[in-house]
Amino acid sequence: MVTGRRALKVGALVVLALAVVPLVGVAIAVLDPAPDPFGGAAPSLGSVLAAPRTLDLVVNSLLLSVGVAAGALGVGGWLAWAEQRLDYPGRRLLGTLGLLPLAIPSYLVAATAASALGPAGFIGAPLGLPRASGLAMALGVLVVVTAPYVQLVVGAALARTSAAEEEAARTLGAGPGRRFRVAVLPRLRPALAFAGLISLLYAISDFGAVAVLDVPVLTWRLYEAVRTQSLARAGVYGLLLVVLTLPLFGLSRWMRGAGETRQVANPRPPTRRRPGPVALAATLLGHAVVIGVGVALPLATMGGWVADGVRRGLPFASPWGPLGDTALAAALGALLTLALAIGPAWVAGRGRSRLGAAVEQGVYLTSALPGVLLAFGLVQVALSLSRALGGGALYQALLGSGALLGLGYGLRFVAEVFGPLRSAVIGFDPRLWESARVLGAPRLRFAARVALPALGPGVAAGLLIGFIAILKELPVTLLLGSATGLRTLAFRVWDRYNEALLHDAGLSGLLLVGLAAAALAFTLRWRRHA
Amino acid sequence: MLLLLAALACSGDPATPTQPAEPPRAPEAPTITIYSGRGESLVGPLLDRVEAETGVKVEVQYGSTPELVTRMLTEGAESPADLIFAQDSGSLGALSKAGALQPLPEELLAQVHPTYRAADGGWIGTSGRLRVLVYNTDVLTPAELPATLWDLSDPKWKGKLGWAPSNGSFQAHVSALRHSWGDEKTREWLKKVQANQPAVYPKNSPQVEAAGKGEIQIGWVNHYYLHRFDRQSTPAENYRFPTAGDVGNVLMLAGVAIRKGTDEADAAEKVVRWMVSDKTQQYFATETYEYPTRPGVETHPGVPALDPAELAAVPQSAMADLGPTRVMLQELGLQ
Repeated sequence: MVTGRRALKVGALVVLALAVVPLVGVAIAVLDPAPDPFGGAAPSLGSVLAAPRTLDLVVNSLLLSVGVAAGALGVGGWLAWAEQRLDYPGRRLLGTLGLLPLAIPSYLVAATAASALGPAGFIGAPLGLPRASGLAMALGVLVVVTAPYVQLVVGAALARTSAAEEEAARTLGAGPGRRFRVAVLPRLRPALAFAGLISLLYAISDFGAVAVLDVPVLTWRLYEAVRTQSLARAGVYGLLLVVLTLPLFGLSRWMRGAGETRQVANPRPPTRRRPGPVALAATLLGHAVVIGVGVALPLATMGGWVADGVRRGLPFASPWGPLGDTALAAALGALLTLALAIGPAWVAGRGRSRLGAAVEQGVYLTSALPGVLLAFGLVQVALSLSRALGGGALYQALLGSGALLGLGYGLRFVAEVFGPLRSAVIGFDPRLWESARVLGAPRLRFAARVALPALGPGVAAGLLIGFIAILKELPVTLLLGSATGLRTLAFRVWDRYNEALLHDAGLSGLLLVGLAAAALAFTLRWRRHA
Repeated sequence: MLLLLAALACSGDPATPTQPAEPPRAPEAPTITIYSGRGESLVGPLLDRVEAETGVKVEVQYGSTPELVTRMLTEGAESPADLIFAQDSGSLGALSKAGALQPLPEELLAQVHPTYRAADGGWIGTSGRLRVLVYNTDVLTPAELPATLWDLSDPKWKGKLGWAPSNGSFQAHVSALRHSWGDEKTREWLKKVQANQPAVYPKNSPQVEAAGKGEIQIGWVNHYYLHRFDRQSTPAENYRFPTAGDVGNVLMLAGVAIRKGTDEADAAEKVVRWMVSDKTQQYFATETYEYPTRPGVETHPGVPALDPAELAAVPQSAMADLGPTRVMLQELGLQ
């Protein structure tokens, strides 16, 4: 067991070391840009930074993320309040439906919203909607996509507040506005701040929506620079993304810490009240927007694309290969992510060591970085290693075998798997092991009979979360996956959508959402049982 | 599952040196790896047929053409690629310059029109997409359309145009303009068209849709997207410039090349031959609505035939010279 613990510790350190690799790749691209294969000299750091468009990209990325955070806080925060404090018909059903956008990747929401709400779309045309700019459209899409996260975080915080404080405020003569300010808001502030920062980080890292809508922001232009092999420019965009992400990340960790320390001694839920007409309208409108744009519109639009293809007799490519490839990539990726997360979860879950804290920060930081940045950094490191060692075979082995793809998925989602795993480790009583030893149980039997059932729920939850996340993932899949010959549903949706073969894109998109929804339903049901 | 298959494949092939001499078995079908910069949606169904029609098995890896060029250069002699199928044949020039391509036999090159192959014999064109204007037929007739690409800068088109400056084919075409007009004139033209306030689209197909719905009158696109739409409900048509050799008439050529040092040179050449054969060229014409490169192959009935003499005299390599183009577009606030 001692060697086992040491192995876990080493595992945690390995993950920390791996987490640095993409950043090294970005640094290499900036400091020592590879020669442009198409003959042009690599632009210098200064010239890329000085280009007026670069500043625009930074400004757009910031505008988008701040706007998304504000919008998501408004919509998600209000819905959380309504769910916890108001009593209106269909509350539970709407609450559950409102979580479904979690199963739909942002590129599908963006593509279907652009199609349906555009001036020529089936909703936009009758309503006479104008063509929205890409930035405005992406803002709306990302608000819808992140609002459920805000709703979950703020809802949990609201559920922890106690009616006692509000009642005390009322007996002292405070009106509703003042009661909210004095008794509720201070308790919610950490959750609101944390939820806002999550949305901010989500929006600044998003690739799918901004790619589909061609919004000039850092992530999308970074991808385009890689696609056209303007690697020096990609390096500068990557560096700017790191510079923007790091402080946000630091803030979100700080806020999270602040939120966990406040607990009420004997919580008692306040009674729900019937909403007035304005509050009811706002609530139903919020639900309608989130469920409508986030779930109904994507499903209806993709269904329409498929139906149009059938009507016109267009040929459909068989989706079974991609379906299998997707399941395979997501399952292997989830296992690998789990393997990466075990060491850190153990070290961080066992007591409050300095190493544990460092590992935890490292894990969360890694997954806070945009996927397109991670993938670019990894490719850069592989490229420089191969050039330095003169080994084309090395490059081929790293990229073609799927090693980089697996590592990319692992680093991107290690934090999401780490969460439930760490909780399981914290809940695991080390005295069990001592008892088993005293009773003379062999190590394997202990593992099978005691440790696995105790840790099992956390492991399974982690695997499912990793599976869903990888299923929906786009930039890492595009940049690191193509060399493996795997063709996943995400890859096919992207390919077909870009070639305007909407019937095929719709079919693959529906399958992808179906697979994610099934896994999500499984997770939720199973969590309720656990 | 892949690992399992790989393990099975390995175990099915026992070490031969220790065994006594056997009568030679029938040679197995050779397998080649194709790096395809062309999308799966366009060429996947075609590449699925290679084995049945040539006896060569293929494995395909898709990616952007520039990414695949970098990969081949980095992998060098260790590259698994035997063949590279490029969306823009001009970018194969970088491989040719680095000595990474095996020159194709003269007689094979001669099967396509001279405009559609590399001067150094490194690659051969397989099909082309023509840059055209797509226009709304309810509001415009061909006679009203500009006679040259330059005329799009006429202020009378203000508020009626669409374009997609972040799109690859847009940038390739601007690179062609720089080659023909020089940087100054190209910049001037871009500024004048910009003054016409064209609607900006992320790529070609939404422009075709917008022209069909009358949202714009003219879009600047590749020709084949129009043919993907339901033509009955889309009152739009493609237009090429009537002035022969006008720089608006540019063909973006997809092409194929063999990696120097491949172990499967014969099989790779067989596949290249197949790609410019009548049958495959017919596929490009009818299934992807592209222009075949082999003389005598008819285009799709809906796609007007193209005489290479109508095209601007721009080498494909000029269209791959994207670096300075992007700088220019950035300076103009278009990128």
